[in-house]
Order: sequence, then C-alpha cells, then structure tokens
Amino acid sequence: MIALFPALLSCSSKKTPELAPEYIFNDPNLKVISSVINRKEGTIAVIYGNTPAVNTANDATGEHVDGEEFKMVTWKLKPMPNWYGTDMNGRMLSVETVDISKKTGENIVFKYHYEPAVKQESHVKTRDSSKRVAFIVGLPAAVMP
Amino acid sequence: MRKLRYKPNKKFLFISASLIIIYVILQLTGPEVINKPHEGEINVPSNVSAILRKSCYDCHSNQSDPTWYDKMMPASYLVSHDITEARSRFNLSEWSKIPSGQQQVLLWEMVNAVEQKKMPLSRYLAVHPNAAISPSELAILKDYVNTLPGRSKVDTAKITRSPYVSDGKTLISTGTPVSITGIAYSDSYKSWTVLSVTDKFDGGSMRIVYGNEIMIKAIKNNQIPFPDGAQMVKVVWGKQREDAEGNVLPGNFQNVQFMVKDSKKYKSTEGWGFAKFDGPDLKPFGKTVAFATTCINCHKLLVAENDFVFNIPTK
Repeated sequence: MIALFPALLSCSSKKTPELAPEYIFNDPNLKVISSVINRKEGTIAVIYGNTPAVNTANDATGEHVDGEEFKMVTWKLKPMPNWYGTDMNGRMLSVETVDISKKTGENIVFKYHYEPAVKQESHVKTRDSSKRVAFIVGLPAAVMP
Repeated sequence: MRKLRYKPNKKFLFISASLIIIYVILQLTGPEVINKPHEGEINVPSNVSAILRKSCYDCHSNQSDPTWYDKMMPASYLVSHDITEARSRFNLSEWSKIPSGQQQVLLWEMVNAVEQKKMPLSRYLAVHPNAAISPSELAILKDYVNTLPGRSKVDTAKITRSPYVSDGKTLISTGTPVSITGIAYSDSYKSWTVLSVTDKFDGGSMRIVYGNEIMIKAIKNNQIPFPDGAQMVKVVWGKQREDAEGNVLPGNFQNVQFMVKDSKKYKSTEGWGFAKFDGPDLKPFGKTVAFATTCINCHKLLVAENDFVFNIPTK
C-alpha cells in the first residue's frame, strides 16, 4: 500500500507544461512594429525594427532613411494548449531581414535576406524578394500606447 | 454443549441509537437551496440548451433540484456551497444581466472547462453520472461558440493613433493610469522580449505578449512557478480584414493587460496581480479589486499547472 501511494499521487498530479524557450526570438536592438496572421499559410509573424525603422513605420508620411533594419519572424500557428479558441505561435519557421541604405546622391538600396529556422527548409516554395521587401518595410506600426 | 447466543451490548445499542437520532435531527438543520425566479434565462439553440439543462443547470441556474441524497447532511452543505459558488460565477437563469461581451467570454470558458474535464465537477458526476458531457455533445457546444459574433469580428474602423504617444514615449496629461490592484501603467514592456503572439477567435482579436527579463529567464531555466518580479504584458488589437494573400493585420488598439508576480502582495489571487488598461486613453479596468478574482478564477480552472498563465511558449 505504501509502495502504491506515490504511484497514485503521480497519477493524480497535474501535468506540468513542457516549455519551449527556443520559440522565443530576442534581439535587444529591435522593437515590435506590427504582427501578421496568415491562416492560409498557417503562420503568425512579428515584424521588428531598429529605432529608425520603428520611427518610419510610425509616420504615415515618413520616407525610409539610411540604416533602417527590419526583421520579420514567422512561426507556425498552432492551437493554444489549455484554451480552445486561440491559436498561438509554435516553432519558428524563418527570419527575413531587410537592411536599408540610402547614401547621399545614390539610390535607396534594400538588402533582403531569408533565413529558414531549420536549414534546408523553407516554409514557402517561391519567394519574390521584391514583394517581400515591399510588404515588410511598408507595414504601418501597430498602435501601442 | 452451550449454545452460542448473540448478546446485544447495551452500551453499544445506546450509542448507536443516539447517533441515529442526532443524525435525523441534523437533517432538519441543513442548508436549504432556494430557487429564485428566472430573470432573463439564456437563449441558445435547443440542442445546446438540452446539454446545459442536463449538465449545468443543477448548480448554475435557479432551477436547482437536489435529489434526496443531496439533501442529506453533511452532503447538503457541500451541495449548497457548490450551488452558491456556481451561481456566483454565472447563472443561466439570470443570463441577460451579464453584458453581451462577457456572455461570449463565459461561453468559451464553459467549452474549455468541459474539454479539460474540469466541469461538471467530478464529485458531482460521481453521484450524477447522467450529467456527463459526451464528446459529441462537446462538439455541439464547440460548433455553437464558433457561431458567436466575436468569432468573425473584423475591425473596419479607421485606425486611431494614440494621442499619448510621441517619439515612442507615452505621455499622458492626466498622469500615469493606475489599476485598482495597485499596478501602474508603464510602457517599459516595449523593450522586453516577445513571449508569444496569438490569434484569438473568441472576441476576435490579435495579441502580442511580452515577458520581462525575470520571466524570460525563468522560462529558459524551466522555473515554474515563476519567481516574484516576473511580469507579462499583453497588447490587444482588433483584426483587420484579410487581404488577398491571407494576411491579417492589427486593427485598433483595444487594451493592454498586465500580470505581475508578487506572492505576498497578491496572495489571494495565487500570487499574480492583474491589471487592464482600456482604449487609447488607457482607462484602468475594474471598479473594485474583485475583478482580479474573475481573472484568476478562469486561470485557476484551466492553467493551474502553468502557474496560472496561458501565454507561455510550450511544445
């Protein structure tokens, strides 16, 4: 009976969650600009930017300036454990980076880089980089008080 | 040979008889379940109503009908306590008293409580096995909540830029908003780390959840319960209409919610302090501190094993 007791306890004890810190993206130089849900692709994303990028995204009439850096981090969308009615980010799929350079007297240059979270794995078959750049750098900042 | 004869022990008989008499008298003194009249009963499709009546009405309505064994002491005290508690959470006979938005939140919470087998209570099911909700009945409840207005809500209003933000800093002329729970608004979360990002169907919103350094470190070190000083901030927006590629962007800012871990200060709410600031003017939510009890009740019911938080990254 005494031997059985711990077994009984473990059966009734609550299931502790398996934490996934590897799903967390962290770059202390960047702040959130906005977020995108795409149920067609089954993804959810956050667009981050450095200070010049955040300032441009907050200004509807603002033009891009030299040194802006954007990162769009995309995760797989999955149902939230413990709450039917919400989907949340699961594992990370990719990080897209756009660096802007605009030297005096020269044309603005958008440098795009696509990095899948797992090498040899792309979550989209074809990626038109100019379209991606336009989308990422053109997103207005989400309103945050 | 002597015949073995059963000789009643007089002392034993006396004690037994006394106990029975006391027990019978006690039955007259137990609590009585009083059913008030219906005042705005819940109005749902008949297949949903049938499930609620079978499995929820005994406690969550003014139509409680305790069986004879529910009325026996001391069970009657437990039954009376459960009914009082259940009616305080929501009363299906007085449903119309609850604001429409809150009704939707409660309906989704009901589905989740059933899915996670937290409701009906196991002690109730043990004596009322017919009240159990089958998988097909749960599917009916799920189908129903997915027809609620919040499920497909699109924010089509022009996006209001906060009048309180300048150069990324929050400037509020009336001073810093402070929740009745003692939590002051601060925009320092903007330099924290994003913990999770969510698409919420119930209510129709999208959210970004931040964690402060203590919270992120605890997650990396697999430290649950979370230590004092851990904080989470959730920023909530409406959802704009989906574009041709399937992208959905944040609409208007709705509110920002705080959870602050302080096991001493917030002992009555499992160590977590709650605050919510509504709209661009960040009006603190809650007229009394009791609002935090409503928060923790749901967190306690569904994520007690997560130290009462939903929005953490898990496999």
